[in-house]
Amino acid sequence: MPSCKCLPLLLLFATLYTGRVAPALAQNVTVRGFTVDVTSREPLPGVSVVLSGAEGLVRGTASDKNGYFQINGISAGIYVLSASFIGYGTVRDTLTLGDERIRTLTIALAEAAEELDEVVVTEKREIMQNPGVQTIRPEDLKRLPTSALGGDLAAYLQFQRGVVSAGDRGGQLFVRGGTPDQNLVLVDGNLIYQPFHIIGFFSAFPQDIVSYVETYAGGFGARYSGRISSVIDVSTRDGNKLSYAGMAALSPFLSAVQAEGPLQRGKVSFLASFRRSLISETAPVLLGQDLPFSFNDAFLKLHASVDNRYRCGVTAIRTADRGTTVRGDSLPDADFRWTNVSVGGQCLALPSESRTRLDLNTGVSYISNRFKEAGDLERASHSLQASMELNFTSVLSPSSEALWGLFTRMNWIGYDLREFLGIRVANDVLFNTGGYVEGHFRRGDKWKVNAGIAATFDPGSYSVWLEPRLSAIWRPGGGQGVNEFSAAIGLYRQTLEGVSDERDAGAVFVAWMPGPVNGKEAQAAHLLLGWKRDLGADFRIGAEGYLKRITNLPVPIYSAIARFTTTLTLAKGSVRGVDAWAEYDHAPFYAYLGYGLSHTIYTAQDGVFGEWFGEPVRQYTPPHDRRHQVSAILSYARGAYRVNAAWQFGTGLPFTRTLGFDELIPLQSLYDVRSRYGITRVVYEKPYLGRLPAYHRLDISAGRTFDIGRAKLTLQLGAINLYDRANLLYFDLFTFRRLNQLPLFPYVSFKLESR
Amino acid sequence: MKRCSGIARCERFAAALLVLGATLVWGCSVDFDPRSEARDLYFSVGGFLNATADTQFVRVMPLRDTLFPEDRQIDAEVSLEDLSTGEVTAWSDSVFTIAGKPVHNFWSATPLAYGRQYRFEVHRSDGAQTVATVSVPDSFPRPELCVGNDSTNQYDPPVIVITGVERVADLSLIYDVRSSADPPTVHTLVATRYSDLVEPLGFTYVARMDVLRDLPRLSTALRVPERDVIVQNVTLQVAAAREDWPDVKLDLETLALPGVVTNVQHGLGYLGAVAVKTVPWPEALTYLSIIGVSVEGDLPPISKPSELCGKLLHN
Repeated sequence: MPSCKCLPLLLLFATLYTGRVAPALAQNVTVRGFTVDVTSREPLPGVSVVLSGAEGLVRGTASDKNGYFQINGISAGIYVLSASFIGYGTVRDTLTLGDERIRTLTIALAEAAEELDEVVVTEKREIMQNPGVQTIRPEDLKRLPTSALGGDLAAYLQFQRGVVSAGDRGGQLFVRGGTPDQNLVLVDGNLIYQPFHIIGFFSAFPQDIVSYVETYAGGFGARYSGRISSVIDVSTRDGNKLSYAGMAALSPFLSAVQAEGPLQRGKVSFLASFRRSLISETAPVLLGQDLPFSFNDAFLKLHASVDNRYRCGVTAIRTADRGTTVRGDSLPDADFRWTNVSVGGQCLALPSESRTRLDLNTGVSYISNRFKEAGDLERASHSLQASMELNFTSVLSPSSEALWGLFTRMNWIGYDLREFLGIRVANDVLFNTGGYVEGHFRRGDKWKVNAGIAATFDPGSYSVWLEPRLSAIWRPGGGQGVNEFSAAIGLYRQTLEGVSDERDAGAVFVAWMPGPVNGKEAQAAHLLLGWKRDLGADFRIGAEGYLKRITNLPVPIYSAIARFTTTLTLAKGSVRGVDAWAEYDHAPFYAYLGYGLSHTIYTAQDGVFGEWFGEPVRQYTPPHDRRHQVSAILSYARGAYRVNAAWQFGTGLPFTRTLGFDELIPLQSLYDVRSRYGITRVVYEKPYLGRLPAYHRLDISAGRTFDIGRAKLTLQLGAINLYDRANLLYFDLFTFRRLNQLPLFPYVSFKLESR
Repeated sequence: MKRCSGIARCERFAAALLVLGATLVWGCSVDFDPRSEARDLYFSVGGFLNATADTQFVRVMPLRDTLFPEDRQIDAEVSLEDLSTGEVTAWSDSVFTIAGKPVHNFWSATPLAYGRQYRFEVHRSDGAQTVATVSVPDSFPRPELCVGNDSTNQYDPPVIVITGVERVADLSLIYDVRSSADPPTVHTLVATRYSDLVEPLGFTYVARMDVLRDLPRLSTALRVPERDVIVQNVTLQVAAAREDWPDVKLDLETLALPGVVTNVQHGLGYLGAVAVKTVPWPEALTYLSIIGVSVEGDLPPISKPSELCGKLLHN
């Protein structure tokens, strides 16, 4: 057994802890381990692992994002263990359990060729899933037509329930009424501030590096804290531990190269990827217009697994985005850019004599965000977070487990907001530490209840903030039932907030700061109610209602003066809505239809949001309040061929209509109109009473893969915005200049992969 | 391709295709106008009528769709009606170029009367009109200037007491200054505002004149150190207005919000009216010399303040 010198005390503690709390398991065996791909030794998340005895099913589970599975409370005896996963041949093996406490296994699954007469699982969606949760696999990302070869998480998320994007530029995602800064995005457990690129189809997470994604559109458990809207928890691939592979791709939008392989065969691997956008170079040629937007991202992961009980990795991502909004002759161009760095290490350990699992995450995350106008620095912000997190998963009984952990986060923040909030230069340090406990309880295959609480200690104010969370899932018919009902409720608090100017539709500048108004931190309460129904093996429908109450939201006070500087006030947010969907998945066809209804209202707490025509403005719909959204995906994949189509419709977003421009003659003194010009102002209606035109767009793609010796070449033809809808991206009220989203954009993409 | 097995099914399929096609066509062109549909605001009016001045200037600009004005010609006729007599005066347009941009200041040399109400009208050729009704304040007494004259109060900031006005629109000190390097014939006028220090006190207004705060501004205006500033004369200017005059303490953001401060119908802005009194204040020179500011000219003795002044100075 290899020793783990770095964590002996923690493992000892975990072992003792488990021994105390799980006496009921003393006479039973725990079967645990990892599911991996046989050709690469990479973990396979979502694999269904089932133990069957002479009288049928004994117990089953699904492997998690690390490919880890654990089945508790198995009596000694002879069983058949089977593991099945979409696109893979089912593995079956006889398992004889004796008097040992724990059996640790590695189950290797082989990708199944279609022509083989083998049991192939075509789809096995998770059951007993909390409301708001969606799991995304690389196969899902492939189902959307994307302008580069291979899918991307950003493009896929825009079709997810409750997600609204501001357009095809800016990289801003709003989840069920929340703002982008309220989304917690984790990559292998480490924070990444803004991983979505300035061209909205792309993120730092292309399909080729993604292993598994869990998204929580609210109602998330106690192990996630620090954000109030949603969680996007991305697990990346480890890289091939057995053989080398490479990839190069080229499209009018971007170029990409990727390499992976073993550093120590079977044990240590690397995965490296670099992508660079090309659209600023290709758009003038292909579209006849300038699209001055560019980005690049670099990804490197090193991963090691030692026997079948220890796995450690280091993940590093750097992204850089830059864009310019051309505002016409009379106003200077606006130039904005941001850079992300996320470097994190993660270890998973299974102590040999303990049923407790230990996860350690530590990392550093950095973002730098700048906005310039006419070459002069107008706003800048940066934030650096160093964090460490220890998570334990302990078995309480055959049908219950406890998750608990400790975390500490240190943030260094700096900003120069002279032309935004009137703050010239400021620096801040924010330190938080805390922990959480979460219990998962099952009653047969009908009930599952998760209850937890997160506690965050702020040494600055010596205050402790508690965030209780509760969710329950009821499947009246058990595992064979067709209906599933779920509910979740919880309190959430955001320690570090991103302040952006919601008045400025084209700006993507976000300044990170703790409690920007009077030190008050944003808080939210979530309530989710869900229902799902299986209509046969391939067809599923569902609906989910949600209610959010948000307090202490920093929002800019509307100003009629034509300038960026503003002050902030606190608002309360109320979000309510429902998402309904139908999904059909029967290879080679896949179809998805979703509808979202949402209503977001902000109320200025102290009534000072604005005084308009003699009346105070207290309530308004913020500019991301998309009332209705319809998403449809169609995909056909067979052999070397794949055809995708995706259509989305969204009703118009709120905006503030103008009445015109004039000069204010401020009679705070005897203002001499003969020598003084006045102060130019844009005269608005009351804020956000107007609605932009509806948005809809159809994208298609068709691709074929060719085998060429030891490599394969994929050729893809496609078009973005097939019927050339003039979707509005941005309207500059100062110049009346309209900027549309991408027009019809046909493309050809190539991807070459070595095998 | 779907095959139609019956006429009815074919028709339904064709209808569906038509709907789809119409949707696509509809999708290809999207007009968008961010302007409000309820646009009954025609002109922006700004400035004030001055009962004391011989010529009136008021800014009149059409509400426009561009950030900066472009037209040197505007479709506007301006008149002022004395609501007491019914007399109507037509005003003249004059295009000023300020900061490189054309602005329209309409003017009239017709005298205004204290205490009268006037109707300011801007007409467009299509009949649209913007109207402001404005009341000229009454004439008011000379403000009382309080300066300490003994050892207990001679260093206290002077106090101005203004009576007989509904609101103080402006209170300024106008300094006649020169640099010590300049000959005495050089005169530079620098105005410093005290409107923000005016406080109501019963039916009067008082302002404590902390003139030491003006020294940096004088030095900046002359571009010399404060020790080289020589004050030659001080004049007080008070502008009285009716009570609907905007609160001078309103911040600019609030003032800029449409409709918060306005007396203009079918338009924007605010047209005020003032009566201005300019009062020479020789005793200020004496006070300035006492507190160490360089002055020149006759330094009159400070007379004994009134009982009210004594109390105000003492406080």
